[in-house]
Amino acid sequence: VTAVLYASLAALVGSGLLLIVAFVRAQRWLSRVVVVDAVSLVTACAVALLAAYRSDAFLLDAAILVAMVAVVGTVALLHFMPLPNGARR
Amino acid sequence: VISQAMATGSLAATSVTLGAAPPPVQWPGAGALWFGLGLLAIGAAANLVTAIGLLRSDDAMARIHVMSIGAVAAVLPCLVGAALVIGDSAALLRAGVAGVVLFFAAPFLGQALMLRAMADGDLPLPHERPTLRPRLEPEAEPTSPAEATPSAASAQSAEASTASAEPITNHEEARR
Repeated sequence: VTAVLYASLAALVGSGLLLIVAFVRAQRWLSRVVVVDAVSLVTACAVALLAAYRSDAFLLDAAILVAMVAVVGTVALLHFMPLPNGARR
Repeated sequence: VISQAMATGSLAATSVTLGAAPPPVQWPGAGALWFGLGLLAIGAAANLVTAIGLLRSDDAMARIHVMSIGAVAAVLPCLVGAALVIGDSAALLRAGVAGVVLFFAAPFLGQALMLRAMADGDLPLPHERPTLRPRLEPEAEPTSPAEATPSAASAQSAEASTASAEPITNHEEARR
């Protein structure tokens, strides 16, 4: 059980490092928004992993909250931000 | 109370006491634990695949695809797997509901990213996008009356003689 948990933790850490590289290499702001969203989801998965390790349901609720805020917040951010050059929807 | 009734098999065997916490529900065996661990590992691997995809994709559409699909593929198994490992039925219910909500929110995420990329010029507009296959050209009209009404034998012989020499047009390729 511990080996599976540590392997998952290693995969999540590797994902975080790759996403940091992707954030540095991204040139458009939308690409960085996508990478930040992916980092939030990786964080949610890491918190869920910690919740499974500690058998803590409250930490799992925190992971659920982080994932929901990441997805819904990104959709809301992209929807309510003004369009370039004064364009209308 | 419902989870206790589900564990014991009947509502009659459930003792309802106001103000007292129900006893924790025991999972049937180690199967749920290993299933949850497997889901956690799948979620972590999906996170890794998503990160590699975001790092390698240069096209905006590819990044949007990776994000909108990988979001659900990575988070949903992690949440459900963690709830299975914890062994709490209420947490499993909450994780399942969150997974369903994320499943239905992922297309909206992809749509918002795609529209924003189109507005910023990262993606071409639909009428500016090149077609996936070449358009079919109309058949050439016969110019002379002799070519317009050839006899059957001459047409077959002409077709047989020029079948190997004529290039394959898009229309013939589409007909095949």
